Amino acid sequence: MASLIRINKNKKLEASKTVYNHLSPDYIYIPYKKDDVLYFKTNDSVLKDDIVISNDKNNIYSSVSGKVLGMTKMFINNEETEVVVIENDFKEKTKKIKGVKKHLNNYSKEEILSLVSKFNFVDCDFSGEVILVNGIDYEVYENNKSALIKKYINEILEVIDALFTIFNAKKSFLAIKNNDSENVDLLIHHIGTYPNIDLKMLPDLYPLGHKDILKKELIMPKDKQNGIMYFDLIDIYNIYNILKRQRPVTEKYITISGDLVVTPKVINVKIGSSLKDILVNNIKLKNDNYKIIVNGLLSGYEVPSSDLIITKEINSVFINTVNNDVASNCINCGMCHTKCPAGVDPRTGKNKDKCIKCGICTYVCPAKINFKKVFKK
Amino acid sequence: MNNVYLRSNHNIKNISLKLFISLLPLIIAGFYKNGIKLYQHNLVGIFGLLKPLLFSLLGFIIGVLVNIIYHYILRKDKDKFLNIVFNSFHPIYGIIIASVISINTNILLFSFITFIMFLISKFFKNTKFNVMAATALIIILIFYLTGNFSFSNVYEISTVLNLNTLDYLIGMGSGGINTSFVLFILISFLFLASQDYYKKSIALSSSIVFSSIMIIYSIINNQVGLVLENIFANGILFCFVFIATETLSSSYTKSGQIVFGTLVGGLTFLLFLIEPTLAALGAILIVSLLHLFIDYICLKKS
Repeated sequence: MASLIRINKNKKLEASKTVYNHLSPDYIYIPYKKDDVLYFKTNDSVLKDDIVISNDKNNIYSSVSGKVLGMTKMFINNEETEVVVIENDFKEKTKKIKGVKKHLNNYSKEEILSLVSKFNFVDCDFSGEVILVNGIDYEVYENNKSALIKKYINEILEVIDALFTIFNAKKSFLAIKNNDSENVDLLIHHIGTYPNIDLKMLPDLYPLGHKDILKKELIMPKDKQNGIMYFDLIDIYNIYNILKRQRPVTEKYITISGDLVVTPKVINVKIGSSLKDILVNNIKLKNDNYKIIVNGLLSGYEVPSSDLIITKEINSVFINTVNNDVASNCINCGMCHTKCPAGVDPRTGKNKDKCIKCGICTYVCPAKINFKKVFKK
Repeated sequence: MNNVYLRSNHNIKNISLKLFISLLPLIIAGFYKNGIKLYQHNLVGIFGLLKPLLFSLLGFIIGVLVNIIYHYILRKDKDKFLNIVFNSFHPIYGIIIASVISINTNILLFSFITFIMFLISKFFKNTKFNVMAATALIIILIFYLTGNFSFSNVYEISTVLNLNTLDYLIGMGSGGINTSFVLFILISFLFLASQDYYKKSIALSSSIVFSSIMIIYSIINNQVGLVLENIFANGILFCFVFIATETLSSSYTKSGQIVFGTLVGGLTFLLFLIEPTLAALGAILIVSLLHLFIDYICLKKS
């Protein structure tokens, strides 16, 4: 793990594993693009889990029941996008689902693949003989996976064990941070019931939570040849919900932290909620002169306003002071190159295509050069 | 907007401070060897007592002064004072140059050459040569050509010394003002090697290559008794640890650092056969001119 780095953390920015809920937003917002198919008109009633929009890639579901109010513009992935506004009636009305199996082991391989594909889990890879579950939060100060393990440890272990049996896997690993003592104790206590699952406790190094880095560090070359079934821990929990309820994923954990947040929190929110709404109801800020950073202080991006919608791609939001670090001339220390986990040389652009956008080059640079900007050029 | 919103505490100020901490025991040892000890033997007065410290202090002040003149007066920068003072490594360069020169060096000559060389290096940022090696070489060469150059202080000149291994480790060998305490150089190296920014491969490979060739050479020439003197004297190890690793003018790739150090070690040996006192500085200066080429080749091959 030579190129991975230990980040000096500020404890005040770390969220506790207690999960707060923001599951009753007044409105939810669903992004709409030009070629998308919209299933509802203004003033139509919508049930929770109804498909509101579909495109060639996936379906987008309503996370609440209520009434379609029309369209407006908001920020998604740093772009101003048109969105469908749904007013929540707070009744959580849904269609009845038939054919839900009580035990996960009763599902066949084909049934699982069909359900996962139906509810947009195209990112999961079900081919291979080794199951690797990534329980390490990728970004510094993100605590979503730790909070999830603490709350749903049995459910998570049950799914991994079921996948192991149903897909005839030869090994299964659950990777977590070794300094997450609370979850380490919890897992050691529970894992005895699941002899097929091998717990891997790894040091708190960045960017070990990245899919490719974790595979590189944890899996033996022989196992790599046989194929790896890689799952993010959050996907494992989503698979549990899909199999147990046969409903789409409409909620997600996000970490809200930053040096202007009084109490950093992990919040369970409805997908489609407005960040502004979440902040107003759950977060106390130290002052109003801030910038908003989405998906991490190292690999994330800045958004111009809190007019942002929570999509399934958003894992964290940081409310930070405006930093005026001025870059000086490169001092040729080479740390950007020697510390890069992907072997990129940011100064010459060598192996640029292998960049995983972890931000280590910029983090370690003594001259405070922003390589993200340099790379963009 | 693309940026990284979390930064490490590495910066020029911080790195300079750590380099200063690693130099501090050597400065104290140099003060004892070239100041206190001479004063105790009534060989120098108060000025002579303080002269070793004065060199380091002057080197630091010249570095600061050049930064202030260049940024405040010539470029009219409006940054904070501390940011300007530590805008470059020149204050630390000043201390390191003061450490490698002889105690017998003229203070005015040292100040003038250091000031001019630092100012030149500020204007020619793209000329990537080792400023410390070049400055120290010029000072030593001028002294060499104009006077009776010697690394030995008045006490060492007046005494016949018969040194063993321990003597070299505790600074009895000849060398620059702060370069003869080999044990402290090793401790400083261990401290610096634990820092991410320090190019330890250069210091290690140059020391290993030079020592290995020197041992073989001494065995072949039946000079086994002189091996330690050849390796530990003349500030060669100090130059490998503090000057060859200078960040701006050395290779930055992993393999490039090893090649760079190997070349420095090998060339130091060759120059040692001609003039031991200038060997390490000369080798570092020559190899520093090739560092871009070394990195280019290493990146191409990797």
